[in-house]
Amino acid sequence: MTLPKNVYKEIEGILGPHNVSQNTGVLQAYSKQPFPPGLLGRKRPDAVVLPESTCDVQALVKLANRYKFAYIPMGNYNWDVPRQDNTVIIDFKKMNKIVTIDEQNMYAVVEPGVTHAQLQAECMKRNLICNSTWGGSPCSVLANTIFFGVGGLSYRFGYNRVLLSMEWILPTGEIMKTGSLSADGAGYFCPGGPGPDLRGLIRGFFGVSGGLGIITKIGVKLMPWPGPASFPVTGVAPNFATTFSADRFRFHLIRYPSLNELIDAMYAIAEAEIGAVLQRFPSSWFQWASARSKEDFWRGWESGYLQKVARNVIVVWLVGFSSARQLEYEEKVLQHIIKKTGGEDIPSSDKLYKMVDPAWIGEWFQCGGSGRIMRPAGTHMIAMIGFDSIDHAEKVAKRADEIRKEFNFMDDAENDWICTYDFGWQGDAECLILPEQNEEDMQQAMELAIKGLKASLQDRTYTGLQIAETHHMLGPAYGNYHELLKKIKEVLDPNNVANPPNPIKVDDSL
Amino acid sequence: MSLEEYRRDTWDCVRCSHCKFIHPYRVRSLRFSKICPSSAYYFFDGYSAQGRLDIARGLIDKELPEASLNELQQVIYACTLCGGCDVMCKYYNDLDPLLVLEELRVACVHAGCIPAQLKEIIESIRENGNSLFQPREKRGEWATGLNLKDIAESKAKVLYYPGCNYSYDPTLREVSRLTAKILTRAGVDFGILKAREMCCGTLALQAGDRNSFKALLDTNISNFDRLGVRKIITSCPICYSTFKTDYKRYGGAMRCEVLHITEFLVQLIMEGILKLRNKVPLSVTYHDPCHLGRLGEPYKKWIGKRVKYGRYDPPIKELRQGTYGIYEAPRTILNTIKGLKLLEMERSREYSFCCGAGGGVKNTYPDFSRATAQERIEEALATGAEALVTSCPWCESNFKQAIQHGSKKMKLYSLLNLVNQAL
Amino acid sequence: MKKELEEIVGADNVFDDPEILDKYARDRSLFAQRKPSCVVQPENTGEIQAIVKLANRWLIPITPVSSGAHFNGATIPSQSGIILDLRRMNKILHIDKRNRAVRIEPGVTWGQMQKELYSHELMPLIPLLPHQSTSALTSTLEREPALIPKTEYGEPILTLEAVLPHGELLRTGSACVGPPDETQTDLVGPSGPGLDWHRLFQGAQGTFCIVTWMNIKAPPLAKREKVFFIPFQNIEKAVKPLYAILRQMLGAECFLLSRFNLACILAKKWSADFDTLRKELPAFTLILCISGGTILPKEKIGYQEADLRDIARQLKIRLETSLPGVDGKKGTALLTTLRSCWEKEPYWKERFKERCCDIFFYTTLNRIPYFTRLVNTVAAANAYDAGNIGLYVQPVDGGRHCYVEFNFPWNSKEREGIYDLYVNLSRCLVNEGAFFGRPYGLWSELVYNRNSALTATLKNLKNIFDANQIMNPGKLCF
Repeated sequence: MTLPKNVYKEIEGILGPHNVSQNTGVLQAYSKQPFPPGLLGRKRPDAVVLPESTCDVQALVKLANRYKFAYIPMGNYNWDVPRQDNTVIIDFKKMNKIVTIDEQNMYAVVEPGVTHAQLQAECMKRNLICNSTWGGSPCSVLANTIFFGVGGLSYRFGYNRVLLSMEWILPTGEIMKTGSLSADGAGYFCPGGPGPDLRGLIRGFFGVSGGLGIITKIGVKLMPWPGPASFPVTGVAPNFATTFSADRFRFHLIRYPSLNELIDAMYAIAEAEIGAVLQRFPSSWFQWASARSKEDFWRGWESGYLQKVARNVIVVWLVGFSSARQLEYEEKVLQHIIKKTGGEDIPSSDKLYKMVDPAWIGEWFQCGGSGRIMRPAGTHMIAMIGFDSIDHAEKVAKRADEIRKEFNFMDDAENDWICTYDFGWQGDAECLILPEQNEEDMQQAMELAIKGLKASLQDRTYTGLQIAETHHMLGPAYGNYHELLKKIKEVLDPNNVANPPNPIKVDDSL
Repeated sequence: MSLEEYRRDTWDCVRCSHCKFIHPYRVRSLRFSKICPSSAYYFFDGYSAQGRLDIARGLIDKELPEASLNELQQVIYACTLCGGCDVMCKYYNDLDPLLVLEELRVACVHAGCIPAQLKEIIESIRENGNSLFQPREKRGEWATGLNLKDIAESKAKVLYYPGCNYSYDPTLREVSRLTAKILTRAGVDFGILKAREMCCGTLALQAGDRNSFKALLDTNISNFDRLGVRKIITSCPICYSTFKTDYKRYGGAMRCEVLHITEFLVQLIMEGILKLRNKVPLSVTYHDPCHLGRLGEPYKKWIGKRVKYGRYDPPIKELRQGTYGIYEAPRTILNTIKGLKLLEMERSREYSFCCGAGGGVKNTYPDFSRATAQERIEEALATGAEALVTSCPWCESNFKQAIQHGSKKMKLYSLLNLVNQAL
Repeated sequence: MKKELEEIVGADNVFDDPEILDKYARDRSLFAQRKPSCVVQPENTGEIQAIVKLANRWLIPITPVSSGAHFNGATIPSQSGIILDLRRMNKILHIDKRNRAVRIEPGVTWGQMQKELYSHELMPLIPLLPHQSTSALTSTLEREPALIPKTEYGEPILTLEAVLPHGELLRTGSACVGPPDETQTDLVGPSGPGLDWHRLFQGAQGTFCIVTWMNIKAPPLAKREKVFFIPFQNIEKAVKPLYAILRQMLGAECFLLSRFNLACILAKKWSADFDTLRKELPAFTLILCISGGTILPKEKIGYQEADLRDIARQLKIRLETSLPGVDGKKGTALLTTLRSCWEKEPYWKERFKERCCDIFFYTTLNRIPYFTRLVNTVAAANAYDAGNIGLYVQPVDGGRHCYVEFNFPWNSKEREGIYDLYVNLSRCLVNEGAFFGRPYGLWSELVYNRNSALTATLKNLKNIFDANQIMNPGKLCF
């Protein structure tokens, strides 16, 4: 424990002793990063705190600047553990209010402790829906939105486009309000301005993990929801079933002979501006999505069934947001496109379709099963990720296949998750690997990721793996943005207390 | 068994945080979305299954010395062992959080840092055969005036086993007495053990005192065998799950069928032996006891090892995750009672929110225990029901005390009481 | 300095003639004149970089200008210096039909872009009747709202290339990989690298960089469409129907105009037609275009119209396909007018009087009636005839909020009075929670003075990007 006693006492003084802990058991629970490469580097913080309000957080940040201890704001799916001594972790579980759901103007304002499942449940009662996240529904809406925020309805919500105004505690402790929140009495409805859009400062492809301050409230967009007032599930775990009314919801799995034809179909569907969900669903995902155990997964996967029947399958959810008429229209358009692009609309009686239905079918509206991706090996990792057009996603996916062949991970070839955003204006390929949590696999995973990065630079594709560990490598190839990023960090966080080394390393102390 | 056997489990935890909340598909509001009582009360992640798995990992990998168990004691024991985390985790991964929580307590006992209150309870069980510090000879007094068969003296097909709480607690005796009356009325040939009845040992197990638990297990099984018991009916879900599951886990060869009274009552009702004729005009909500529900499902013994990817060798066919707990029997009974309206809480069945009595916390951390019960009562009130119903002595007792001392008031009934009213 | 500039762009492209400088010293707004010292017209990015480096050496301010007409004071050089007029950079660099995007230089106008896109069966996300010389790039960069409020069409900037205030080049998003002809990307990924620079550059009034090209969303052109005009006698009555229509995601173009504005736009013969239209048009008209999309357009129009009629029945509103007092201008033809450039002078806002003072801000639909009453009250207090106030409401982002613009025509004799009105009204609106997200002129003072942390952060960013404070100083909070 390196945090001086007097500093600890001061933290207790601000937040109350019941909201601060240095108990070893408590600290231990914040010592592991769940994914490679950080998995093997574990470090306990010096204290964990539970602020109850924005004022609490502000007071803590000011104290951090006075006594030069670092802090890490965290959500429920921790991305960061301390990299240095004298680090306090801020857990926002007590700041868990849904401040408002503005039904008319379709947005909600949340504190960091609110999870996706909680917000979704409250929204559905009001015929609204927020974006789900494939990080899992226990994820903090706030943390996930400012960090990644990809989920079932991103095809309609867009990539990195659900965020509205923010209440933001800068690294030096001032409270900044962005967008329409800066106008007294206006609310959180407008993200940009006044003048520049400061959402640009909180994230790029990924967020800055609190490295430029702590966001304590955000506005998030909601969409109309023509479905039931609560998620329609029956059964006892794991035998869930979900059904949505056929006049407003229709789920399709469409198979293509090749990735190339699948990509063309995605373009066609996106251009026709139909659907609520459009993504390529990797074959192994069918297996872990439905598997009730590891054995279930591996037996299914090793049977080779999915490798034969589920390569190049897209998921399309049609939703009659406006009416049943809309659904019928979109169904016709989809059938037209399937015919034109040489697709096969897999019938609901098909074994493959049934692997998704009955439990997973609602996954795109309320994420309740994506955590099963951990089932095969214990963890997963984004080995390569490319963000640009849908065509670009194909390039990246093919390259990922070549690189993956050199490693010994689960053979998951031609199998990457391809998502589209904003009616197909963007697409990304997320190339995942399923490594075990041991030193050998972690090293291999790191090697693969670096190889992937180098390949991306060489190929002149655009990688989304822009995190603290990679900016110095990518910067020189990407217009030296890292220099700007470094200056921003130095100016906004002069004492380097905001979750160093995020968003970028500024000194050699780490 | 040792912590080291769970190394894979502790490493494979990725901090997804599902162990803290009910299943996303089942969330109906922000207010009632948590599954883990200790995480809900203490907030720090150390108090969740994820946090405790991190502690276990720390001990296994020597990041934490054994000496730190003293400091870790409170975090480890401030848990009702309700199994909510276990059910949640298994939906996603092949981990056994509940077994790790149990193993942490065993480690504490070995290190000599078991909470004093639990040590005293185990002593009471050893000395007096019960966990309530009561004289052994008074165990059968609950049956005064009922003229019940002593199974040690006269053979009977069924052993009715009330358990410590239904035997000794005067506020709960109504259940054991009503159970006996109903069984009599239904013509069941049953007997009781009276003062010979011995605690099932659950609190020894929950405290982490494996040796004491095994001793009780051996004693009880030996008694049942000696007396030729082939069927046990109990009103207590904790005894139910201990006999049915924990005894098997610890190598006990239980030769009897074990039923909870609700299972048996449903049979009697379906067969027309029990007729619920009277109207009971009441709206109720039913609280699923952890040990009857998610922890009440059968256990299939497995011995093996974890291999590549964490697969099991030999394979486990199905993970035990609360699927086959007793959820419908109590509901069938309640729905059969004329005039009774059953309203469901948001967290029900396998996602029932614990009453706060388990894991020894009623004795070790009474504030936490009471707050948990009060949380559940608030949820019950939110359904609009007039009364809360349950079929577990720990739940009933804890709810009673929470209602008595708290600001939220609600009628509370045991399920047996309502059945009796309907007869 | 002039000589050095001439060496960069050629003598024909550097101007310091007083008459020319005078044109750049003012615009069509109320704001004071400030004369630049010279005007430079570069042709390419390299020239711009050289000019910027020179300006840093000499510490001379640069004001980038792309459009021919300006209305908000953003291009008046507050501290003199160089006007960087980008009109020579007027190429449509690439139309990507597959990815529905168009890459343009700053000098490309809406009309120019629209024509090209139409020939590729795409369309621009055009705002309401931009001036014929308005730069499509600058308009987009400054977040002028498009007529189509669909969420998916929002934030139309995909990637861009910019010269930073010290002369370096930054390409944003997936464009950062390299020059367009060397990259394997399609230049459509906005995020990153590192941060979302394209968001920081928006609404910045040229204070952070000079954008040399921008790749913008260009949705497919509908094969068929049907236009409805929904009349309202007062603004209160328009709120519920607008919410209902937007909630059901019906239609493409969706915007509301007051009778005054519509009359200014539609009048052929001035002022006879204008006078007639003022009498016959409804007080407010919601213009809604139902677009048939690209596949089965008839069916799409069919279902959307049916859904719209359900709303109309429920809320008892009328759906017209033409406008009263407007001969021969039915439906789609009228919409074509409204979604094009204004190709003539005077500009439609300046038909009634010489100039027009626009006060625009963002709010939610439900507050528009309140703000309308407030505007009328303040106008009356300033002796301004409410009947001459124009109103334009543009839903944004699926209707989650709205752009609201009040128009106050004025003649030069009325300058002082209109300036007082502008000041008083702006203050009142800010006090009542109107969000001036694009803070031109006085608004910048009003918004930034109330937000010290935000202002300090912007200044910090500005100091990083533009240590010598040469890029359009005096704008925003700089």
